[in-house]
Amino acid sequence: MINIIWFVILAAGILTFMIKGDTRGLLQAMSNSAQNSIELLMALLGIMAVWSGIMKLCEKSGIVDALAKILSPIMRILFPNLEKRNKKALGSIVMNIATNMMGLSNAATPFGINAMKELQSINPVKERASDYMITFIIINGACVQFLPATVISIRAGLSAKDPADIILPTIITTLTALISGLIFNILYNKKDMADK
Amino acid sequence: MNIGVYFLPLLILFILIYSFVKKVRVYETFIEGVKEGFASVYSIAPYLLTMLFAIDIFRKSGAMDYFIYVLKPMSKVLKIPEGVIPMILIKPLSGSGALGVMTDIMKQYGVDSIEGRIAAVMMGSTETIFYTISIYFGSVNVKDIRYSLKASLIAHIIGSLAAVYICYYFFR
Repeated sequence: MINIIWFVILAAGILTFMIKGDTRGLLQAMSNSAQNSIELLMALLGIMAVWSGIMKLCEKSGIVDALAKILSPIMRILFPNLEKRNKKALGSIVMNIATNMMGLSNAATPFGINAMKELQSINPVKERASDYMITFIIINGACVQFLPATVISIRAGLSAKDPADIILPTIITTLTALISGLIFNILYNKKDMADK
Repeated sequence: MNIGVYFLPLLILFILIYSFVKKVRVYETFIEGVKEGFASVYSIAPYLLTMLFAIDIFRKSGAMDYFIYVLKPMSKVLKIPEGVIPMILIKPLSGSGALGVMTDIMKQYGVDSIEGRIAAVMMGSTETIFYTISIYFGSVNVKDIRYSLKASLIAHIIGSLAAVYICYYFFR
């Protein structure tokens, strides 16, 4: 998918340059782009490293686990009866969401895949997504992030006045997306049941 | 937004003190994280450069203006600044792509412009749905994903609109 998009964007750009007869502009844009990217990456390297250090402290000190504990009751409501049917699945889901919330997306993916495997083990029709899986995917797709560290780093790299002032709007936006996702989850689920 | 200014320093202080009290070897642990941070910038670097490269050519050539022009009526009705439209379209598809688009928007309109801020909020608020769905369902061989994509996409659209209006509220 991204293959096609990248190809179309670049080809359309080159073609537009050619139609305009501005071949020098094209070459200039090419070298400028590469140089600017490297400058940005250098700025990003330092700030990202510092944030990752802070995140590591969250992981090691048990803040992530504490967050998981706080999330548990909410998860029990979102995944009714799952605790009785497969405790490990609920545990992985909670850890996946807790790590995602702290912006540790590399750590989150293994938990997520684990959760899917556990959910699959109690899935009656193996080829078909279970309700639990869908709820999990939807929550995952609109995951609240307390610290969008990468975004803050890039904003700092581009010398924003207050790189972190997007945190609160980001949290509110995610909650909006999450709640609407869960509402549509319920609506579609009801429709699915009615169709059968 | 005075409280907001203190949120981050307080959070970092809390994390630091909490870790220290919990007898985490803060210095070594931080270094461990820094190593991971270097590694993650290293791993996103090729994606960022590649995506920014294509977007730069697309924008500098003027093709981006035509593209935005076509979508203008829609963005006008919904009061979305036209500059952030590429962000809404790319976010569900590719995280690294979205990172590139966000950076491009910030450079183009300014990091503290409304466009730049909306892009930042969008970047932090929704996941790359197609990627997540393909990885997660792929890992357990589920072929019938039912309404999960539909519901996620609706959440993405509502989230994108929310990002726009919430940023208007906060930053204007």
